[in-house]
Amino acid sequence: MNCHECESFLIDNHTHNTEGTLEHLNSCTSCQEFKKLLDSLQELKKAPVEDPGEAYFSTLLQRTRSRIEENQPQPLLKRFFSLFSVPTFAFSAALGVILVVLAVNQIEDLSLFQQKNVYGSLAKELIRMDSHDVSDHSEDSILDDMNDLDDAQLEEIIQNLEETMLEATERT
Amino acid sequence: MTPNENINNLVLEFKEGNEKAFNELFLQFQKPIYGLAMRILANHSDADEVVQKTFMQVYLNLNTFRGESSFKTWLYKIAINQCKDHLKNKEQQISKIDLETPAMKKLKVQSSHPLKKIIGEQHTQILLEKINALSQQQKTAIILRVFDDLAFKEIAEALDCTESTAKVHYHQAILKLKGMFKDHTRGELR
Ligand SMILES: [Zn+2]
Repeated sequence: MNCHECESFLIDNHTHNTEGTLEHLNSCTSCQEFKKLLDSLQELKKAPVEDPGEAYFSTLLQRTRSRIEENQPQPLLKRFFSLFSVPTFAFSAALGVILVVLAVNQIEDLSLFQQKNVYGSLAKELIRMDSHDVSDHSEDSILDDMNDLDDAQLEEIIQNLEETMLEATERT
Repeated sequence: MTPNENINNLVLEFKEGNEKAFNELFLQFQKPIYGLAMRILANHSDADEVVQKTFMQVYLNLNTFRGESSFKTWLYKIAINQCKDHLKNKEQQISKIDLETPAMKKLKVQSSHPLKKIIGEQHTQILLEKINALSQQQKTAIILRVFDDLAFKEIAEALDCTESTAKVHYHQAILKLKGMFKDHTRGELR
């Protein structure tokens, strides 16, 4: 066993040793120091962080809830965003279809400005989802655009999206 | 039911619309997330802000959580990103572990054996200083591994890298600390 192997072993199995590591440790001061440092880090674990007290934690949930309340999307928007939880490929397929469908029929009642906003947001979101982890994505920009729509318009878009995505998911 | 199964159930219940499930998740994780934020940001009001923002994001994005990683790592990842954003916003550079927090002072007082107290005190102080001098990736790897008991697979998910890269960060951090200690002792002997 060489030093690198010994170190790797100690990193994975800090609390117990094999015969091979013990033998190496007995003859290698460098790895002994390495192990000592790992021991010290375990000691450090006992160093507590500053305790803000139970009074702080007893109100934290309520304060966070109030902030969520202030920032929460409308139920319809929440449903819209839940569509993004399906795999991206299904979403891409669905989006292609839905854009055509919507362009021809469903959202022609919207102003041109609103339609552009919806398409733009969906496209932006799609690009973002393709390149990033979903948990990182912010809904702010898309929310801004969607806020211009009234509930009936949104309901229609969502229904169409839901149906088309269901079809796309079944196909794939 | 194992703790993990319980958490998975809470996540499912919340996705199905049970608001109380979110409260339970919050209560289970508020202290670990506060601890993590405190270790990275070293300031109560900053940590408080990050904890609230982290759970706000959890609430608004839980429907996008696909369960590919555990809820805990997903949560830690959000918290770490929130810490990074917070630091960026404050235009602070690499975070500093506050060496003189009341918690540290408490630790010094708690060591009962006189000799152990002096050695422990110096050693802890120096070690914290050295950890503070590491790169942010290395420091975060140490914090997650040592203080939060995360497996390398979980650290990798939280840091958005491969498991072997996470291990390399940790390994290099230990080697660097080891080198720093050597320099430190040599300096004292001189
Ligand atoms: Zn060795």
